Amino acid sequence: MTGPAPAPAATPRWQLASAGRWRVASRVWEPPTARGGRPVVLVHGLVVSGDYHVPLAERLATRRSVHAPDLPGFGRSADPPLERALPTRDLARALIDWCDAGGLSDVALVANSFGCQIATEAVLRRPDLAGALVLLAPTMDPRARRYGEQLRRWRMEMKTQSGALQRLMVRDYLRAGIPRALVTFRHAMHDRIEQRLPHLDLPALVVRGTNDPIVEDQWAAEVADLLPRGELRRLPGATHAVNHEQPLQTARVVAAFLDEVDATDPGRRAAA
Amino acid sequence: MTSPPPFVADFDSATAMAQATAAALRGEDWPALGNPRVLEPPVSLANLIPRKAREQLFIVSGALETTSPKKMGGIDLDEIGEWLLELYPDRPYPAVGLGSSSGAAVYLNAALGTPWLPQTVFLPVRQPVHPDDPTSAMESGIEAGRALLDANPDWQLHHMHDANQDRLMVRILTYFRVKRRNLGGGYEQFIADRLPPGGTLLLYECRTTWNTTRIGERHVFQHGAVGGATEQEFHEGSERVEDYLERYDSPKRRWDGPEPDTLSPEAEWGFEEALRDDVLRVARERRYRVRRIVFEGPDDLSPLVADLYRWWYRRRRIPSNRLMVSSFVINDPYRALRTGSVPYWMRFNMLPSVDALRRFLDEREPFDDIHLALFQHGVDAVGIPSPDDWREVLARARREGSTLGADLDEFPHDFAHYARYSRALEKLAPTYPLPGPLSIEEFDEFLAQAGPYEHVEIEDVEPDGDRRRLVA
Amino acid sequence: MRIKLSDAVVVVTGASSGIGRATVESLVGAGSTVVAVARRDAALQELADGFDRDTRERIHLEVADVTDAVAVDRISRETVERFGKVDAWVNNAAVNQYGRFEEVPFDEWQRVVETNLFGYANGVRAVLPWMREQGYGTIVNVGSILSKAPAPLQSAYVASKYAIRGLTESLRQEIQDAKDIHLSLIMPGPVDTPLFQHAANRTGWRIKPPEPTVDAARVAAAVVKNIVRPRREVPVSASTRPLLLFTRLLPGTTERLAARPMVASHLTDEAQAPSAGNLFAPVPHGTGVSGGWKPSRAGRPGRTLAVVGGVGAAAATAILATRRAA
Repeated sequence: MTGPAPAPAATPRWQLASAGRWRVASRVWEPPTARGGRPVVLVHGLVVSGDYHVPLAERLATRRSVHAPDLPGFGRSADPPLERALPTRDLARALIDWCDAGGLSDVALVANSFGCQIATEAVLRRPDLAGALVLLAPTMDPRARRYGEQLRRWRMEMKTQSGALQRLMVRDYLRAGIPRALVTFRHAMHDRIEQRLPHLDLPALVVRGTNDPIVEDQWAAEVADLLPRGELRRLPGATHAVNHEQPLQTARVVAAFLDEVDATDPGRRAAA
Repeated sequence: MTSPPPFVADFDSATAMAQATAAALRGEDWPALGNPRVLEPPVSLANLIPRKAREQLFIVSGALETTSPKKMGGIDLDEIGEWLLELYPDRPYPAVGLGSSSGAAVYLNAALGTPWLPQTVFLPVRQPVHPDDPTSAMESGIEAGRALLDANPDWQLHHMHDANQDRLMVRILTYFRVKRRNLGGGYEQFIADRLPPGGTLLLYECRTTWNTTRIGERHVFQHGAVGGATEQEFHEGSERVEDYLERYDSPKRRWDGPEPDTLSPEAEWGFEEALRDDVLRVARERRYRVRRIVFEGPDDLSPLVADLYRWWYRRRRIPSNRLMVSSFVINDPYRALRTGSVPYWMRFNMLPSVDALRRFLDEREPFDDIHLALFQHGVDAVGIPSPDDWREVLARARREGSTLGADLDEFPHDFAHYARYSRALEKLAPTYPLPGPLSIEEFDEFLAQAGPYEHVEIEDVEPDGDRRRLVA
Repeated sequence: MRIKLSDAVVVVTGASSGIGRATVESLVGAGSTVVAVARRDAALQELADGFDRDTRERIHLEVADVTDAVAVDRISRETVERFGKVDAWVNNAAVNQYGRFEEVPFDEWQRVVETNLFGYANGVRAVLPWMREQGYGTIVNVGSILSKAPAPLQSAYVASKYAIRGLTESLRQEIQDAKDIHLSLIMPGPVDTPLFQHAANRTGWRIKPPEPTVDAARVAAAVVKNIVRPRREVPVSASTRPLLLFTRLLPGTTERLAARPMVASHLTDEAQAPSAGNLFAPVPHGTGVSGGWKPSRAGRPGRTLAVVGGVGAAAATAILATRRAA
C-alpha cells in the first residue's frame, strides 16, 4: 500500500452463473487500471449475502478485482435444489464450483464470521483455489460451541450494529427464510474449523475487532497460531462485521497484507 | 566584600589577588585596588601635589596599616583562613586553586571560575630603621618573629627587607611574609566544603628562590627581593646600585647585608614545598586530582594564560585582538572578560618585565589594541624602565596603544592613575556578556594543542598516585 | 466524530521520557493502542516492559529519529496498515540547547530547529493524508509557553516553538474543509522532565528549570484530553497564564523585564562542562517521566527567581511608572 486510496471504485457488475448444480449470483468490481494483483473473493457469513461486503469491496476494488458471490440459498442466488440448507462442506463445494466456472484460481479469499468456516473448508479441499486467506472475525470458538452461549454473544453483537447493517440483515434473513437460517446455524455449530487450520499452508491473516463480542481475543490468537503461516491483526474499536461496519479500517489492513503477499510471490512479481 | 584581617597589609599582593579573583567569581569588577569609588576623585587630584609631598602621602598611607612588633604574639593567622571562607561565594566548585601568587593565575582562576587560596601573606610590622641598614632590620625582627611563630605553628616566616623598590616603605615598616606549611586553619575546611570528590586542586608552585640567612627553625631573613635589581646586586653591589644610593642621598654606596647561608623559597613569590605533601594527602583521601602548575618566576605563566584567553575567545567567536597588560596588583579579570581582552600580566613594572613582554609580543600574532595598566610604586629604583620603553611597546599595536589613564612621563609616581584606570576600562568598547566558566575539560583541550612554555611545567597527579605531564 | 480512547490508535513521538512517556502511559491506561516513537531502543523496551503481558499487546515500539522524513512516513503508513486507522498523532519529540546565539556552535543550533520544527512538520505531513481518507483525526502539537513568550539563552528552542505555533495555526486554516480533523497546540510552562539534563549546554553552568515546574503527567493529561476534545491552544501550569497575559498586553516591556529573571531562573551556580547533550545522538540516562526537578533537587535559592514574580512585579512597576509620568 503506497498511500491513501483514491475514492471507492465504480459500481459493480452483476453476474449470474451456473456452477455445478448451483445458480449463483455475484457482483464483480474491476479496478480502474489493471494492476495484476490477486483477485479477491469475498465470502459472506451466516444468513447474510454479498450485500454486506459492498463497503469493503468498494475500497479493495481500487487496486484489484473483487468478487462477492451470494452463496446458494442466500441473497439473490437460487435456493439449493435438494436440501433446505447446505451444510458447511457443501457451501464450500458451491464456492469451489463457482470459482472454477468463473475461471478463478489462486485468488485471495476474504471471509467474515461463519464465512471463514466455509472458506477454510474450500481451501482444504482445493489448495490451488487460493494463494492468500483472510479470516475476518472467524467463528467458532470450540469453547463457546453451545447454543446458549452463541445466542448470548449474537445478541450482544446486534447491539453494536449500525442501522444500515441491521436493515441489510433483516432483508437478507427475509430472503433466506428463518428455517434456512436455523438449519445453517446448526450446521455451523457442528463444523470443526480448528481441525482444518493446521493443514492450510498458505499466507493467512486473522483479523479481529477489539470490540467484537462474538470472537474472543484468545480464540483469534489461537486461529492465527494454528495456521502454519498465520498472522493476527487487531483492529482497535472494530466490531464483528468489520467488512461492513469498519470498511476503511479493514480494507487498509487487508490490502496491505495482500500487497505484501503479492510482492513476495515469485509468480506475480513480474506482473505487478 | 569582607576585608582581610587587620594584621594583613592592604597592599599585599596575595590578598589583593585573592580579592580580585573573588570579585571576578561574583561577576563584579575590582576597581582601584579595591578602594571604593568614592575615593577616586581625591586620588586623581594627587598629581597636582609636588612629588616629594606625594611620596610622604604614600608613606603615611602605608604607616596606617602596620602592627606593633609587641603584638606579634597575639596574632592568630587562622583568621586568614576564616576570611577566605567568607571571601569566596559559598557554592561547589569543580576545582580549587592554592599556593603561590601570580597575576597570571588570577586570570586563569577567573576563567575557570575557581577560588584561589594564597600560601603566602604579608604582615607589615612597625619598625623605624634606615633602609640601607639591612642587618639592623634583621636584628630588630628576631623577637617579633619568634613570638609570631610560637603562636602559629603551621606557618613559617620570611623576614624581607628591600631597600630598592620598597624604599619608601621600609623607613617605617618591615616585611614579615608568612607561608602556610599545611592545610590547617580553614584551608582544609574550605576545600572539603566546596570541592566535591573527583574535583581538581590547582597547585601553583613558583620556583623562585633566594639566598637567605637562617634565624630559627621556621624563620629566615631575606635581604632584597625580586625586582629591578638582581640578587647578586643586593649581596655584592653594582654600579647601578651606587648611582641609585647616590640619587637618594644615602650615606652608603652598597648594602652590607648579613651573610646568607640557606637557600629558601623567595619571600613573596616562592613556594614552600611542605604544603605539597599535605595537599597530596587530602587529594588521596578525598579522590582529588592535583594539577601542579610549576613555574620559575610568577610571570612565566603569563604567556600561557594569555594564549588560553585568546584560544577561548576564538571558540566563542569573539575577536581576540585586544591586549590588556596588567602589572603587579592592578588586575581586573572581570573587565578583561567583558571587553574581550587578552590579559598579559607583568610581575612588576621594571625592565625584566618589559623584556618579557617584548618577547611575548615578538612571538605572537600582532594585537590591534594594547592597553597598559602600570603599577606606580613611587621609586626610581634600579632597573626601572623609561617612558620610551613603554611607548615602544604601545607602538606595536596595529590600531591603538593606550595607558588606561596613566601619564607615562610621571611614571612611577603617577598615583592618580589608580583612580583613572577604572574609568578608562569602562570606556572600552565593544563589550561582551560575561561567559560561564571555562571547564577543566576545555582547559585540557587547550593544553593538548598548546606548545611547550618556557619555565612552565604542568603535571597531573591522580588520587592513586599516577602522574601525567601535560606541559613540559 | 468523537474519538473514544479505548478504541483509539495514537502515535506519540519523543516517547522514551518526559511528557511523551507520561502520555504513552496515560493512553495505554485508558485502553488506547499506542505507537511509541523514540530514538532509544532500550528506553522504549523498558517503557513497554512496565506493563503486563496483555496490555503490552497494545503498545507498539518504533525506533526512529523524527528528522528522518522517510522513517516518519513509514511509521505512519505501517500504523495504518497494522491497525487500519490512526486516530491521533502527538508531536512531542523535542531537544534544547542553552547558550548565547552569538557563541554557540551553529550546527547544534540548527539541529534543535531541525528536530523540533521539521520533526513536527514531518509528523503532520505523514499522518494528514490518512486522516483525510478517514475523514477525522486529531493532531496534538506539544509546544511551550515559549511558543508565545520569549526567553534568552534558548534561541533555537524558542524560535522552533514559535514556529510550531505558526505551523499549527497556518495548517488549521488550510484544513478547514475537513471538519473532523483537528490541530491542537499544548503550551506547558517548565515541566519536570529530563529535557533539562539532556539539553546541549554551552553556558558553563548547570541548567535547571525555573520554579515551579509542572508534573509531566499533568501535561500528558492535557494532551490526552485534547485528543478527545480538541481545543486550539492549551496552556498548562499555573505560572504560564500571567506571563502570557503580560506578553500580550505589554509585549515590549515584558520582553525587556523578563530577560534577567529568565536567565537567573534557568542557571544554577554550579559549573558544568559544555556538551552537545542528546542533539545528535540519544543519551542513555534520563528515561523516566520526571527529571527529578521537584524542590529538593532544583538548586540553590539564589537563582530561583520565579519568572512570574520577577516579571509581574517589574511589569506592574513599569505600568505604574508610566502612569505617574503621564
